[in-house]
Amino acid sequence: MKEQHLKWAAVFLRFGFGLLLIFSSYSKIIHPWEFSIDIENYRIVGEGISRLVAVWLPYLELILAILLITGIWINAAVVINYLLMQLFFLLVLQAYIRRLDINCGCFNPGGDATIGLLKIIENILFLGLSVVLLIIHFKHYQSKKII
Amino acid sequence: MIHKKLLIRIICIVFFSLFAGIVVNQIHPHGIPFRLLVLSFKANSHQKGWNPISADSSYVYYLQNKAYFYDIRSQEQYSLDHLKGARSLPFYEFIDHPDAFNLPEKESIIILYDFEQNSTKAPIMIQQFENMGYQQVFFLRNGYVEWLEYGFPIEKGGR
Repeated sequence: MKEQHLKWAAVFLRFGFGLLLIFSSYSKIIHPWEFSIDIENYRIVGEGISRLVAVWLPYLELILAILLITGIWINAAVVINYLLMQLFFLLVLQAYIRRLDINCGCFNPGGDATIGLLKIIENILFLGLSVVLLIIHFKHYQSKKII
Repeated sequence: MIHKKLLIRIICIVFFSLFAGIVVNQIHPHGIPFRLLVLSFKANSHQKGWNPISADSSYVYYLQNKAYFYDIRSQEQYSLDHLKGARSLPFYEFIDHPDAFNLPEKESIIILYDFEQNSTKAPIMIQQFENMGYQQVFFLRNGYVEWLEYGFPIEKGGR
């Protein structure tokens, strides 16, 4: 019974992250220039890297979403999803600590939304859920299903 | 064994998404073309050329007729009204075909403006100008909206 619950929890989380990543990648794909400026505003990387990330990241999110939803290469997708959520959390956290008045670029590149406590909590939540998915997948669910 | 397989798949996903991003951005009408991606690695940080200028300082240049003003909004927005004497230089058209525009000499003072402050397009435009050899490219810090608030001259229509 417990196994069954865990299995459904993993499926639910995979679909949840999949939809979230599709939603997040959509506006970044439509507005790559605005997204590259949002990345640059974090003042961690220069414009070359920020443009490369603006070209690459939305498609990584989209491909990841497809893999999470379809279950293809699921082990790799779950690991990348966790690493991505961790990266987003660290980026938002450092911007908050440095009091950067910038748009996070998460869902609306070039928008006016700034990084506040709510954004930190949101990212903690996503990171926590990605850890839960990672644990369920590798400790319980994956043991019965070889990649 | 599984770890190795996992690692290979992660690398494949990363590289495939990068490849997809580069390809789609080539055909995306508002994408970041590969040419500019390479250029941005060659050029220095845009902070070097990031020269914001206030509306009143711009107005001094305007009165002295010392600068070229360029409106980086869309052609439709430009046609509604624009800074008097400014020329239209729509962002996406310029980024895609910078050589298609009749620009002044490289030594000229150029002032770009968008509607609002904190334009995300301006730094990219400035960098593109710098890549073309322009040294004195400024950006109207608080945008066209401040120019309007100050009551500085504008005109309607035109291309």
